[in-house]
Amino acid sequence: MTEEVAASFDYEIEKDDFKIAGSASSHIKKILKQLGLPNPLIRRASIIAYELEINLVIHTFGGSMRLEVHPDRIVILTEDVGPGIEDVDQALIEGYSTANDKAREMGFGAGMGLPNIRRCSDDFSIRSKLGEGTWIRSEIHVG
Amino acid sequence: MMGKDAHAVKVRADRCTGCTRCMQSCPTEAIRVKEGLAIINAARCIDCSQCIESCPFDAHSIDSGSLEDIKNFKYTIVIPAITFAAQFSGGPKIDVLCSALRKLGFDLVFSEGLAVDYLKDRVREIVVNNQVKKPIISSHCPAVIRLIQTKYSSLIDHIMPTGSPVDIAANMARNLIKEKYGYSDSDIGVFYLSPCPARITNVVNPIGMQESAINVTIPIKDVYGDVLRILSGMKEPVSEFSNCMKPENLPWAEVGGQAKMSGVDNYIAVSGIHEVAKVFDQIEMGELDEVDFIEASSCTGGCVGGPLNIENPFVAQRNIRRLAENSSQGYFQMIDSVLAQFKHIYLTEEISPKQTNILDEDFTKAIEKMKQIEEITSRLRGLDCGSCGAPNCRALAEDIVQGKARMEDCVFYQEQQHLWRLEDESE
Repeated sequence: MTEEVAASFDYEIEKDDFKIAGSASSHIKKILKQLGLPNPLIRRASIIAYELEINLVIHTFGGSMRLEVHPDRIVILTEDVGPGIEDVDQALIEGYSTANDKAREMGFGAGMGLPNIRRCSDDFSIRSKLGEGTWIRSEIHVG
Repeated sequence: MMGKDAHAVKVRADRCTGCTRCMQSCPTEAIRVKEGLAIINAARCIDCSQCIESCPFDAHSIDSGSLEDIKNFKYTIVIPAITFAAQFSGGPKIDVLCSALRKLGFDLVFSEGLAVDYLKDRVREIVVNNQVKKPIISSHCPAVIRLIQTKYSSLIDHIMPTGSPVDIAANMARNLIKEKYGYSDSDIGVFYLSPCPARITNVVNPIGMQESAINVTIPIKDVYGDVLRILSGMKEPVSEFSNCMKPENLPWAEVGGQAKMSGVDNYIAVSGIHEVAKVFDQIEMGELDEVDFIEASSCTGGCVGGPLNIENPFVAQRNIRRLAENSSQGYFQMIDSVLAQFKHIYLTEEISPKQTNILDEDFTKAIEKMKQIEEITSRLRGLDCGSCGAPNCRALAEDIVQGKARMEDCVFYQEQQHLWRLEDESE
């Protein structure tokens, strides 16, 4: 099997860093534009990246995000260091949110994050363990 | 004059020192410095004037027309940009200002402000009736439209479909004189006194319209001295055609003026091209879907911040307010009957994307190039010093991968190579 051409990009996201929240997803958007992908696909990927990034800032103790670009798919992955989601099924329901007051005051935490990410993805998986962390994988098919 | 795809701003080789300031300030990374001279990539340039604003050596010239061109026409109309009236802090009345313009040799002074009357109601209608994807982005600033074309093509659908006041006014004035005096199109010269290079480029290389109704553009700064001298010897207006600037429409040129005058409440007024880009990033992320209207100006403070004005933009804003409050109405009524049927309000041509930074048409090759860029970027120092002639290390890496630059252009890389050579020799 020939080795597949793929480019990857890694980002560290800090808890509560609202000032720079969005910079990783902005960078991802810029990369995808340079690669010449169609606008609707870039828009979906940008929304996914942005929602994931904001989730890391609001809900977690911090974590990392990774973009992988393959010839047939875009993959965005996040991994955080906790606290984990108690009920993943419930978190995937629109309107459900555990965001604190500080985040809500800034207009985040409407409970649209995860459902929105799932809706924009062609393939979506989430794994979470309370007290450990959450692992999310979102994929968009190219072409 | 300029050809298609050309831009109004030219680098003056006799003054450029190759200092890299313009290169660093360019929002589309259109500038490279080669052998001590700034070179603008025409495909990427959006006429935003950042290079002019950042240059300490005044090393730019504007490819424009002049008053000399008046003699090429049988009948000449001058349209002063709304900001023109804001350049005179001494407070000359609007009708006196218009008279001074006529004394420059023009037959008629016609105002952008007259177009605002037609435009503001359409803008409101389009916003209220959701005729365009929200948030709707004002089509007023050509540099902003070009920014969308080159870097935010997903936002093309958000652009307000109306033309900008100057283009509408140019059509209005031309129609008026044709109907009233029977001149043919080629007899009539429409001149525009421009606050910025973007408008000058837009006459030769128009976006959203087949061709411009303007024949000649002149920078406001080029006529300022002449007008000042005429004003010093004039106290009263000289003719019935003089008072046509419609003072109450002057605030259109202020930041937020378009939204306020159109009666749109839920808006964002952003100025300065880098801030505009940040707002566009937010729109693309879907963060501003609830906003009705985005009024974006390339220049800080709006058109009063254009580099071809004379007065400081913040002083100019105060001048605009004073004029709007203190001038009487009474502009000439004769035009109303002709303009009542006026229809040329909308953009007629599609605005197409102009993606100039795609790495490769072939997606797999583009990924390969992206990998190479990352690899090269990781080997560069990351200081974004600009000594190589590219605006930052990543841009140099892109240029290298695209075959437009070499690793040796990096001074730190050269130093490293030199040290290695010395080590080799000493062994």
